[in-house]
Amino acid sequence: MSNYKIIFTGPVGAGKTTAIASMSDDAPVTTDEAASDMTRCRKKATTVAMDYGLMRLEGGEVIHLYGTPGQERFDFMWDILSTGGIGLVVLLDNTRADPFVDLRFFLDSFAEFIDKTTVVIGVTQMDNSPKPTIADYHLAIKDMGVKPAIFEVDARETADVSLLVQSLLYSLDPGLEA
Amino acid sequence: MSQLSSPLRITLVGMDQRVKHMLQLFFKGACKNSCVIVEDKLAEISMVDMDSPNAQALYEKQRTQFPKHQYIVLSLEDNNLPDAFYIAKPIKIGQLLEVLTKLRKIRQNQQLSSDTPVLKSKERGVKQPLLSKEKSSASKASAHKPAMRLDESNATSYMGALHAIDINDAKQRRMASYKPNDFLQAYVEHAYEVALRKNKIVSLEHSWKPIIIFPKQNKVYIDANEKQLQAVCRIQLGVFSNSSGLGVSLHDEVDEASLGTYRVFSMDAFLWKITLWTAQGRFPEELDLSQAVFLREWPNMTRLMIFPHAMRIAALMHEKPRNLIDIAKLLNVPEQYVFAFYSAAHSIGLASQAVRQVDSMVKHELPEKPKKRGLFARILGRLTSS
Repeated sequence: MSNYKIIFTGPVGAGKTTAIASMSDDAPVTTDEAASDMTRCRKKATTVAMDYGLMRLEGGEVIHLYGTPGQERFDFMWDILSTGGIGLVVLLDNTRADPFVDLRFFLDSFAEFIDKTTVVIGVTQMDNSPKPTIADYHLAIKDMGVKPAIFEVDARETADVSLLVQSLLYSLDPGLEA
Repeated sequence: MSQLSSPLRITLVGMDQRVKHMLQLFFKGACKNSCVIVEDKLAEISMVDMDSPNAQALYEKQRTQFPKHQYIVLSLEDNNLPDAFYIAKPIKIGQLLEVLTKLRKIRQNQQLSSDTPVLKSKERGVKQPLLSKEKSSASKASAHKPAMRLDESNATSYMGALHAIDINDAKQRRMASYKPNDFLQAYVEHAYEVALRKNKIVSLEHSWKPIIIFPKQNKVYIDANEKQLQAVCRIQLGVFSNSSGLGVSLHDEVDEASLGTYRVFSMDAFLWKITLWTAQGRFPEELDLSQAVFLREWPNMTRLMIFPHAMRIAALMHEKPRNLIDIAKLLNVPEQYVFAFYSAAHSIGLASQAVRQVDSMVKHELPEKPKKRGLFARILGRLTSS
């Protein structure tokens, strides 16, 4: 059985669970629980283990979709999650106090994995908080050694998440054809 | 709100703040917001106080500047002005409501008699701004709209009918290029640039439909439906420009509530779209096809009009500078898709001609084929089929 994975990461409430649910062919396994004091103000439930979903490909192959825990104290799991990964999808919540801090945190944490694969970034909640803009994110990332696709995303919209994952694949292989 | 019950947009002429305030309260109260007070350029009705100082001059000037407006004149005595609705002072609510009802019916009849949404030139008599059902339903929509996907079945509607070109043939190169400055695209780009530079709201002064740019919000409001917009993008600017030329007006503020029937877009999504419709699969005339171009960053594809091959073109153009012909060859896609992508990305400031000679001298090949291409293709197939 193949062990290919796409990893979704990002701060609590950024939409990882929803994004995986929108992509998964089977009912995703979610492990949200009541949020701790630290995160309760942002989300009633938070992911304390990880999310899991899968995409079934022609021929029976499956792609595993993993979401990292939303609370930073679970960083020990990231090495495990990134093994065999195809690429990284970072989801950022634009209503957070400083989403650039999140951006740097997740790119630094996954730097080794990104070097081996690639990364794309989805910014959620932009209809509620239009700033920073996508251009601001590109500016913020300029000196970080990566030039990822950065899209505005509504994690509930399959089309948005799909385009983000497509950009991941095309970034890995611009000659790719469907 | 239906197209027929959308607020009448009224501008007040020759009135002091006290009277304006009184009328504003009246429109909110007795008229139940069926009318809103707006600036001249956004209005469909001019209401003129004929007893104000220089009233006659003001009235004639307004008539000249806004010949398509309907006119309500307020006065102690009837001046028998042609083509104007007279309301005697002191204003009686019933009489004003009656006139407003008539004006609403006129607008309704004009709308029903409009047999085509396509732009008509000034010479043929431009209709008053029309309020379509589509616009009404979109009026409260966010500018953060999901991407619209175009497919190849109707590609000629936005890609034209260009065939592969020989870049060494000047005639073919000319046929495959266009002059943005001849079209609405450049006018909107100019207005946006002014709005950003002056940090003010800008409206485009032309005899077509109102277009208003809010630079702080990065939004554009337009009182036209999709078909109308697509049609006007293909018309050379001279066809609908007025004699005073094309300019922009600056505004400190415009009440967005008064634009309830307008459609709203993010600026990039709007520019991208009108450029695609304008370019029709061509590239901007000033581009040297033999030189490389670069894509500074990926466009925000989830909020732009996506056409076939756009994602592939973005990925390859972003990978490193290449010329457009090479990109088309490497991806094995028709050149007009690459030209269209460059034109659109250039209009939103993301793509440009590379200035380093070395970028144009390097032999361009596709990046090395990854071992997992088969897997990636299957994932892509799964994503694009759902």
